[in-house]
Amino acid sequence: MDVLNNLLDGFQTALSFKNIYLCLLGCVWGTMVGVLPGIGPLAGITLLIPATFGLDPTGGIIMLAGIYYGAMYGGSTTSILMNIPGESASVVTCLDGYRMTLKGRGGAALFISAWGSWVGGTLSVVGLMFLTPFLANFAMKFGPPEMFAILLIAFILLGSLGKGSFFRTIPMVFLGLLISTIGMDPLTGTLRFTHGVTELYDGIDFIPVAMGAFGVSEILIATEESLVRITHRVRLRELLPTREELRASWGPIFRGSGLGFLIGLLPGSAHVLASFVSYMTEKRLAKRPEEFGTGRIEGVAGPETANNAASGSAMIPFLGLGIPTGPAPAVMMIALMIHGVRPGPLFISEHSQIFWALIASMYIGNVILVILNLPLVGLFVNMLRVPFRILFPIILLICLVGTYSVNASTTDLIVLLCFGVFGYVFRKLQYDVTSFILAMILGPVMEMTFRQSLMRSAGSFSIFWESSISLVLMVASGLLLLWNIYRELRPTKATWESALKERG
Amino acid sequence: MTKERGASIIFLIVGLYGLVLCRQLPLGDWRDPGPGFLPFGLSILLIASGVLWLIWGKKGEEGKKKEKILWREAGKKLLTPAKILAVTVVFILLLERTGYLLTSFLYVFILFFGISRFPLWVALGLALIIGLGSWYFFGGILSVPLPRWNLFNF
Amino acid sequence: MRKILGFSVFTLVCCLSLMIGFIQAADYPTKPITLINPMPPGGTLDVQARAWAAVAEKYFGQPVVVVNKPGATGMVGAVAGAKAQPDGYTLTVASVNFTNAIEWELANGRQPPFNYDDFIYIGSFTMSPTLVVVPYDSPYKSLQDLMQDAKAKPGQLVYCSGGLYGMSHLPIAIFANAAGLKFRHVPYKGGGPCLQAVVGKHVDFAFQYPPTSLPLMRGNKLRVLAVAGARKLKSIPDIPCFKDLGINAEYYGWVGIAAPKKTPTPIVEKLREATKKTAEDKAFNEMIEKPGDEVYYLHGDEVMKHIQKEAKTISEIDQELVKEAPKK
Repeated sequence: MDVLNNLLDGFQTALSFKNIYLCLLGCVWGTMVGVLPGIGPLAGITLLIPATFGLDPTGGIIMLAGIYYGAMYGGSTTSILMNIPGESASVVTCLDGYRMTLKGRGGAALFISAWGSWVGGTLSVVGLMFLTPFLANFAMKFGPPEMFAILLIAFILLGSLGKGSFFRTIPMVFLGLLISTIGMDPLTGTLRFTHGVTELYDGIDFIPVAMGAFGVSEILIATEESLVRITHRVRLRELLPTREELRASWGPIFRGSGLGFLIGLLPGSAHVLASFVSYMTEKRLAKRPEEFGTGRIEGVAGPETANNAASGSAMIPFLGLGIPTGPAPAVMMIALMIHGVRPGPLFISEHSQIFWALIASMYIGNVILVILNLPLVGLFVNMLRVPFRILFPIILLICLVGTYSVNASTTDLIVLLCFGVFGYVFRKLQYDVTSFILAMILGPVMEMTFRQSLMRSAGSFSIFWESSISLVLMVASGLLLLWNIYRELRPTKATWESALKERG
Repeated sequence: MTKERGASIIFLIVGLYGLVLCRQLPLGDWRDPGPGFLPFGLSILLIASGVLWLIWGKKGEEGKKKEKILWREAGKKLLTPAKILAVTVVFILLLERTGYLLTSFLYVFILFFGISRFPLWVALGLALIIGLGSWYFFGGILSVPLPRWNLFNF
Repeated sequence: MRKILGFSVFTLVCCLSLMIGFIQAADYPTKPITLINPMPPGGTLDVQARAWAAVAEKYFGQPVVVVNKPGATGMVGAVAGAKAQPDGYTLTVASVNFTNAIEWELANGRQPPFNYDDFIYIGSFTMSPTLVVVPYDSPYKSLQDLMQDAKAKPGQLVYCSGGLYGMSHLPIAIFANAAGLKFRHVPYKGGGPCLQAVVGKHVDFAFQYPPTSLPLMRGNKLRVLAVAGARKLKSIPDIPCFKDLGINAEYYGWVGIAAPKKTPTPIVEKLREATKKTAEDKAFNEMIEKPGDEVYYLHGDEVMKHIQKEAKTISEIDQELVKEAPKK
């Protein structure tokens, strides 16, 4: 088997002391960068490009890939422990993860998250290894109509997110969509709602919004009454998941791997979409979906696995064709180009040594990361025992620096604060902030792909069912919508019982 | 003033604001939506939600209690968060002028001293550690470009 | 008494820091240099700027740190660069996007937040034309085929770009204007998605830059019909250029370095010297040429002249584009 031979060669290269060291360095760095909110894998990779200059291309890219992966593992830490989304893909993890921490199960959540990340990451490298050429070409078939169809499915799934009543979710979705239109319309160049502020041209950056609405508002709410919070004495038993939690996680982990791998191929920051779709799917498939949002382990296991799987498959178009579909693979591509290596369709054949060493090091990296992260769970959970009066300024400072580091912009800090207030107000009014945030993510891309599709077809709607892929997806979204409506209208068990009682 | 009404009013205001602003944008039509299409539609939906909920807010949802906004209580609760917000605003304004090290030190110090009510020396000490530590960690180890105070260059 | 003491200490400190400032000018650079890149990380400009930073470090003797400050097609970063301290320690990556952004704002009746003369141009090191790319199994075998088809079906051929009024949209607009053709434009967000659209056969053609298109050409994922400029490229000598084909449409993506306008002349001279040496440096040339681009050095004054020339062309085409925009 050709693949296995190449893989063994790859391992030979990757297992050299130097490369293992670089992989380790990258993973550690990536974990640090991922744990700290705001700074994401993109910044981590970009900041370290100069450090790769003294290295050969193989070593350089091994280190950068380690950073990318490490950041994906670490991103869930602050989401689960502090309700601060470390980066965009971790927003969904905050929902159930933080609730688990409040119930004292934070350690278990971190554990399962690391474990799921390993499974997702490793399985996606397996897929990467065998399927890159084929999948890279497949990914190219996804144009605006296909993307719109997928987002439509995600949007319909969003409808089931509302924790409480329908009424509290829908207006927030509208609000999120409206706010996401702020900025210069990429398709016509007109400015929407910018009032002449140059920094708003690109719209409101998503990270400060999420960090503000979740993290800062959490702190504002927590400091209302008194600064004394009951800190939990942590016992080992609490760090590890219970048998029931482990059993419940298997399903989400495998489904998350599959979903994440497929979604990661799509253009854009697919790992966000992947974690989001995984959460929705788990919620739909669960026996007691109302409990999602109160601390169900499936709500952590699925998304965390999915976003790691998506990071793996996001490298496929870049490795197979030289077309990066997201910002992080794009930066890795630059790094390669600076080293004189030309990514492109011939990359795998011309530079097979680098490619296979990279694959091997991704396996190794995943193992290093899971070994690194598991003991860290104890460390992080213990950090929470620091009294809140000392902790909250530190958390605020981290949020501020994290946000600043993304774009070196003070405007982002103002956004952070504004949405902190926003989150505070709406949480006190008991409206669902999550739907707002998720609508903000989905909105711009949906609008853009919809209009791009129509621009291409000069106004004809048939473009949405012309290609087989988009046809299948549109039909799927239609079925999903029908199923949703059916579920809402179908009488629940409770009404049956009360109807039977009345009968006699 | 119940919570639902309060929120509805917010939606109404935002919707109206959006509507007024996006009248200047080209709307396009179904076949060729312009930049104003989506904001216009959303503003209308927001206004509709606001109005509908305002009206239905009277009836209330079946079985759910309406929650009144207790203004005085809310005001009292707001005190500490408002103070924190104010200090943070000052931080943001000063950041690029006086550089990260000084600003973060002052910020953390004020929070420790003013809000957590630590004694002066404890607050100073903690602030120093956190300020220097974070500066070294973010600026040094992670090489995040942090603003410097132009006079003294740190 | 204490007040006088305090005041004198304060004055002394101020004088000292000013003196330090003067000393710094003499043996510039004495500390790391920040290079603001107004473009998001991962684009062609970012690669080239980082390559420059990596090699220029040698000639400066100090690290050159690239900071991305993306936003509004480069305006946010440009404004930050223009307002920076004119001490030579904060430079900005200047590129054709300066002209793109300023002219677009002007054409739309808005005042741009910065202007050409907010900067002193140190020099530029690339002057890349775009390449006309089509999907691999496109029916067009040459540029003439494309143009003939476009004449026969005005407004039906679709092209994509990496962004409205950006580096991959304007060359097509200029070309269409010069050749009297009408196309349909679908803007994408960035060069990557645009290339993907070409490879995936979602559009008929696009104009993209050599570093990202040439590898795809070699991998048989797309074909290059022509070079949209006045010179052929060394790496693809068989591909004709616009000038050969008699088309008068030129647009170049150039990348260079700029300093805030009040930077003292001795520092500017040192910067210019270092930039020239970097442009001639073998390692730098390799970094730029390996992906398929070419190094083309222009001294700061020549950059200014080029900007004036391209500003005219871009301003004209932008006004055309603004007129055609939907005004319902």
